[in-house]
Amino acid sequence: MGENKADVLQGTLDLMVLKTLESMGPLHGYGIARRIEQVSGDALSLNQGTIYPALLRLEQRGWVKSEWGLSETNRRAKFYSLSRTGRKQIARETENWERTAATMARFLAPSSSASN
Amino acid sequence: MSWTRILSSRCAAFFRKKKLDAELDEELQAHIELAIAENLRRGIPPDEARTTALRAFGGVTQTRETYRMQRGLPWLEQILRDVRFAFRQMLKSPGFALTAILTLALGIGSSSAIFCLMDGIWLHPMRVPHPGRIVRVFSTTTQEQEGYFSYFEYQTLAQRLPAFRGASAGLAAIGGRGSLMPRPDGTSQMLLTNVVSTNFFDLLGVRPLLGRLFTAQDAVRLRVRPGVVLGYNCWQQRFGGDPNIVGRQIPLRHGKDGIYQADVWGVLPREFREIDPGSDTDLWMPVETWAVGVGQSDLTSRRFRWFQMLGRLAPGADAEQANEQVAAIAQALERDDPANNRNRGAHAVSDFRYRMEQAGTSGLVLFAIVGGVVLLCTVNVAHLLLARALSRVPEVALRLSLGATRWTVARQLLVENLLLGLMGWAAGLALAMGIAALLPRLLVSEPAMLNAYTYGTSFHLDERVYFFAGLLSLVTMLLLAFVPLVQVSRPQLVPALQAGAAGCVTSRTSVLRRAAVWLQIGISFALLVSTGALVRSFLNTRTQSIGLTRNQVLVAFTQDPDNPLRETIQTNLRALPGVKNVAYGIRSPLMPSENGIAVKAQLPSHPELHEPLEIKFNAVSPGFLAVIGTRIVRGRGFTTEDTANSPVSVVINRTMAQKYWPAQNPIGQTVHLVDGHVDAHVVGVAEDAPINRIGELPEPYLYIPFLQYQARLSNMGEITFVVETSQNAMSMAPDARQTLIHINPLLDPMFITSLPELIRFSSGNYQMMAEMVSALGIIGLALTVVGLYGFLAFRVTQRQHEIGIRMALGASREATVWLVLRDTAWLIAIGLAIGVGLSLAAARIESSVLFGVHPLDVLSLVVALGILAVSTAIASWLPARRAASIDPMRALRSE
Repeated sequence: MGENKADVLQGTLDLMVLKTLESMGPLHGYGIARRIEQVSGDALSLNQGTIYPALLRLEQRGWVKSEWGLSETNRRAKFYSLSRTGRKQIARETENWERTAATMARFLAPSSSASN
Repeated sequence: MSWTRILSSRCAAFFRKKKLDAELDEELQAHIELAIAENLRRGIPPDEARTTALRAFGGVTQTRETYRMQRGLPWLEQILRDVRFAFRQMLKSPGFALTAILTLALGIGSSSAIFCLMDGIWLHPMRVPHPGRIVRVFSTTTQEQEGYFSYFEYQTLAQRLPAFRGASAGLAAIGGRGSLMPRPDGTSQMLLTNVVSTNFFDLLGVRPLLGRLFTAQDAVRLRVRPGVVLGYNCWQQRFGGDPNIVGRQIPLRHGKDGIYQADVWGVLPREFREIDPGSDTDLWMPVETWAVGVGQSDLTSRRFRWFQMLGRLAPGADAEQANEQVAAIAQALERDDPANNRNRGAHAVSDFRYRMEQAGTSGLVLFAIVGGVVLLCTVNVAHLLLARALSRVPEVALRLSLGATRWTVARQLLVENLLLGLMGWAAGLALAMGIAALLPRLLVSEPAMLNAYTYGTSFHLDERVYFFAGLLSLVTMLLLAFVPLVQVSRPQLVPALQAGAAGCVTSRTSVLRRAAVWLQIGISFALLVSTGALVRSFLNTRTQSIGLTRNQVLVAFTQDPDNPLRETIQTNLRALPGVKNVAYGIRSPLMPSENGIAVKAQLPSHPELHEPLEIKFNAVSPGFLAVIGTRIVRGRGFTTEDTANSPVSVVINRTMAQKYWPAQNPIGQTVHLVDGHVDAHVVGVAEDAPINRIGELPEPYLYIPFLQYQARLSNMGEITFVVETSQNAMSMAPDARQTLIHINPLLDPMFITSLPELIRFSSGNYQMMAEMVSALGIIGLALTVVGLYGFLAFRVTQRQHEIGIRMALGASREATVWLVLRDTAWLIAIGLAIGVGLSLAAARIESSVLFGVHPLDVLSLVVALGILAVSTAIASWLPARRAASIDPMRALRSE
């Protein structure tokens, strides 16, 4: 099912999508997925499909807006952009993530010093 | 908050599913195409470009599913799918669905209707705000638990009770009396009057329909200018619903006192009509107005007790505390004034409990019987469901083995059963509404009366009945929900798949079904026995000797004219064609809305009784007992020689003779009447006759010659003429009334009715019980027969194979029939054993609502046995015949 992977990624995937939209402006789903893959330097194996439930989730919360438009190849595609609450949310989410990361770092640091 | 936004977006999505699905498909399509385009740009060959794009995407279908779960309301969709499937299942076997729904409807409908009836008569609280805070206070004596208070006692209690002190709390007095409203021609009609303390309406929180209601602040004004409030029915029927009634003056009179005018202050709303269940009040009068019309003495006398009390509890206080405080004050009163208050106590009880007690044993019996019928219905439906569950074993097994989780299958079955339950509930309520509309016609109407209005009771389903029916359905549905759990908990799938429906019966369900049949037969038997006993009991009230004649006797209640006029009335009444005999007394037996009058008496032959006895009595003319049909069993009745000045004689009833002079001759014994300081001598013993109600426990009773009572003890100012007629007494009522009015318009009777009417009304409770229980008994029997038939028919289908083999091996038809019948015989035997046990339990409760029937009535037992034997025989005969007609070759091949 790949469910496990999606679950692990869920929190971070949302933030990645928001951050991508912040830096790139309105973008269709494929563009977002490609951008995330590029930024993560292909270290992250992302099922591109998982981006869509994430986008829907963000849209339901009102952080992301969507609109049909034309792609660079003149194909009809749905474009996503940040809403005002979404912009605010990025700051909050970033802070959350940094706190979590710092906590994890503290957990990991003493064990490495103890082994010395 | 964001969850509301999420929910609303999900709900919106739920209703635009098709469009959104199309959009998603297009979006995903665009994604893949964009990916292919990029791959092509990067120089990947066309056939590989597509595969690479799809691989990078992950599963398209899977994404779509996850997306949909995220988007709409998956659980709702699931349930809708289940409901749709359940409907299809129902349509597939409409017979089954219809039987189940109708059975449920029968149970829920009949019991809700009976609840409606009980609620209408007894249980429903007063239509006032916070009825749960209302408490009733009664005075108690050694003989009486729900006695009255004097106004003086009310005032003392109201001042001293902390439990009723507070902003909205308080204690109000209410006393039932009568007022006469004179007509222009000098005749008058009686208005049932509640005399209340001025704080009464405020305390209860009653709002007027018209005008205003008096409050405690109006006391001073009311003392100068009398005022009253009208009940809704009185306003409608006696004043034609006059919208300008407020401010009008109406003439009133009490007894022989003068006429005075009272202002109409307001009209009460229709919902507020009764303090006691089943009563209605025409006139609500403040004590101040009563004092103007009748005089102060009714309120200042410490011995004239005619008020009951209603209290509203202070915040934080409860009925228990109120009861303790009331009892303590009653003790203090007894200490302070022993002459007036010896052996008097008081107790407080919540209005709700009071009403429950009023419903009493009749209510309990009805409820137990209704419970039995509901149980029968539930068992029947459970039967049906189990039978169907077995027929669906292969389907369930197939679904489980194809990978459905047990929960999925159980949920599906649960939805099916709950749907049945819901439809049964709706049909049941519809049935209950129908019965409720008929109830007033089924109930015993009030006695026919001339010159007095009767209002009757109406029944309607209110939120309490819906709640009751809902609760009932919930319990039933929980029971039904249990069935699917049994269905999916069966582990052996493969044998089930192989054997098919008939082959796989686990012993567990089989025992369950057997037990259900036992229970049904048991309940049905007990129901039939109760029905028999209650019907016989009702017939007894119609046919058995009750100490009152069943001949036509007119009863006219009026004011007592003076001595010579009384003779004139007797003569004139006797001169009417069709009149056989005329006599008079203070009251007639079974007089409604009156509790009977009592004298204080001491018995010199029983010096060990220190306190005077309070014995109920009637003062009667010679010939009174003969007219009402109470026979003298020993000694003599009164004659014209018992004059005002001759030695006082009394006739006692048999219960009194047996209680005080079981071994001696009661004739010639002395009864000292305390109030007149009179020694009376017993001259005769009369048979027991009901005083207030048919079926009451007999108690000691005295008859005193009317003239002697009036001359030596007291003048009640009221008289009841009893007129024996040769034709229907009620048809004589207008003539009798004219005779009285002709002598003096003031003698216009407060009401005229007849003894047969009073007897009919008084045995109404027996009639109601007999009718209800008969109906329920028949329903119960039908349910049991259907249940038994269903069980046996199913058993035969189940054993088709076995029977086929037996027959193939040479078993005769008779042997096959016997095979089925033997099965049945055991079922019935065990069921009957349970039934006898249930009957024994029921007999304990029932004994007090029966009239002249032993609760374990042998005739009822035998008849119940007979009916059950015949009906179960029919129920088992058909399946047995079918078993016998099984073609062995076909039965064997059907596997």
